[in-house]
Amino acid sequence: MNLTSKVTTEQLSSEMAPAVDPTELHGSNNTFVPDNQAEELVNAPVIQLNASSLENVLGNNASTFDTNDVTTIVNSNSSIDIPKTDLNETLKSVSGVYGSTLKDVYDGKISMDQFIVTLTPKQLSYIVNGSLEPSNGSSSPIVGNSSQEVPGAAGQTTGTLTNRGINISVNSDGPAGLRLTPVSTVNGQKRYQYATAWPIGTLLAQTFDPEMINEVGTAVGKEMKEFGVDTWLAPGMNIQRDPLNGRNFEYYSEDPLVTGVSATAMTRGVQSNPGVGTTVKHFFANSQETKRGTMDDEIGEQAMREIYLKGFETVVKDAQPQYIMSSYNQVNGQYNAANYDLLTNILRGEWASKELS
Amino acid sequence: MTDWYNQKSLSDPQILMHAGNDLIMPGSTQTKLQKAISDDNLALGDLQRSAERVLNTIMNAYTFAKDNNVKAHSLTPSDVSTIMTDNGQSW
Repeated sequence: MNLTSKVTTEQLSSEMAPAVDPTELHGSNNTFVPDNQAEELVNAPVIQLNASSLENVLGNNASTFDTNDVTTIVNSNSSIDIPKTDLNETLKSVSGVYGSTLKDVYDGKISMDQFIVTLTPKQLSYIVNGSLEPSNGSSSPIVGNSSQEVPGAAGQTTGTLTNRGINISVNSDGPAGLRLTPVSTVNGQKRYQYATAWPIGTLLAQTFDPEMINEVGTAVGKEMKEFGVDTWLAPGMNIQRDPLNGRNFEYYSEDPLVTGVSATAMTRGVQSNPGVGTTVKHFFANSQETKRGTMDDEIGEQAMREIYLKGFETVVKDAQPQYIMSSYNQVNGQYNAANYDLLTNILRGEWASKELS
Repeated sequence: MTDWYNQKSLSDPQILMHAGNDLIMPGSTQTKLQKAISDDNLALGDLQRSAERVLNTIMNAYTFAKDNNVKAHSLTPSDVSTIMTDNGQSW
C-alpha cells in the first residue's frame, strides 16, 4: 500500500516521550527473509492512496496550555495576598458576590468567577478534597468506604459549605455494578441497598455488542439515582497487558478499539440518566497490580498513543465521562497523577475536555 | 480526580493540583494545600481552577438538581461526535 506523498492527518506536539523508545527494534541481524521475496515484491498488487483526499483531516490540535501559566481571579473591591509562585500570573478582576450560593450561579444570576472569588483558600481546599479531613485521619475508614451519606459508597465531596449551596455529591465504586452496603442502619432506621451485580467488564466486551453494554449502563445509572449516587467509579479500562494482572477482569480488552468502544457505550448508557456519570480509570497504563503505587512503565510515544491512551481518547471525545481518575503508577519516569503533560496537555489541551475533573 | 490515598497526593498535593487533578480522594490534604498557598508553593489560580471544575460537576449532577428542585440534564452532550453514530447506531 503506497501513499502518493506524506500526509499529516492531525498535528499534535510531542508529550511524555521517553529518552529512548523501548519499542523500537535495534540492531537485529536475524530478520527472516524468504527465498522468493524479490519475486513476490514484483508481483504483489499495489494499492495507491491519493494523498490530497486525506490532507488536514483533523488539523492542528496541539495543546495551547502552558505549565508556566496560571490565571488568578481577584476581587475588584478588595485586595488579598496572592502566593508569589514562579508562574506567569494573569489576574482576572471580577466583583465578588458575598453570601451568594451555587444556585445563583446555576440560575445565571452571577458568574462562577464571582462565586469562586468570595471563597477563601481554606474553603477552596475543602472543595478540591473529598470529605475526609486530616483530623479524623487516625480513625480513617477502610480504603474506598468513606461516604457518610450512602453506606458503603467509596467517597463524597465536602459537606462543609452547604450554607453556600454546595451539596455533598456521593461516588460509589464498581466495578460490576454499584458497590454499596446491602443492609445498614442509618439514624436508627434499617436501610436496604441491594444493587445489581452486572457481568464483569471482560465478559461485556467479549459480546462485541456496544448496544447491549449501553443498556447495562442505562440500568446502572437508574440505580445510582435510586441510591443517591452521582458518580460511579467505573468503568475500569486499562489495557489487559499482562495475564497475571489481578484486575484484568474489570477491564475490557487487550485491544484499544474494543476498550474505547465498550467504555463509550457504558458511559453513554449511564449518562443517558440525567445528572449521573462515570469515572473512567485508571488513567493510564495501570496494567499490573504488583507495585501499582510506584512502578514505572517505559512506553514509546507511538505505543502510548495508539494502545494505552487510545481507549481513553475515544471515551473522552465520544461520551464525555463525568470524571477521569488518574492512576498511581509512573510512565517514563514521571508519576501520572503529577504529570501536567498528561492531565492538562493531552487530556484537556488535545482532547478538549475542559469541563472534566 | 486522584485514586484513593495516592502517595504523591498525601506528600505533595499541590503538585497534583497543578498537574490537573481537581478532586483529591478521599480527602485529608486540606491543611497541606492551605500551607502550600501560604508558603507560595501553590498558585491561588490553580486552586480556584480546580474548585471551579468540581463545583461545575456538582452543579450539573443529580443530587444538586434534586435538592434545588431543578431539572438535571444528561452529562453527555447530544451533539458530541461519536465514532458509533457513523455506523448508524441509534444510541
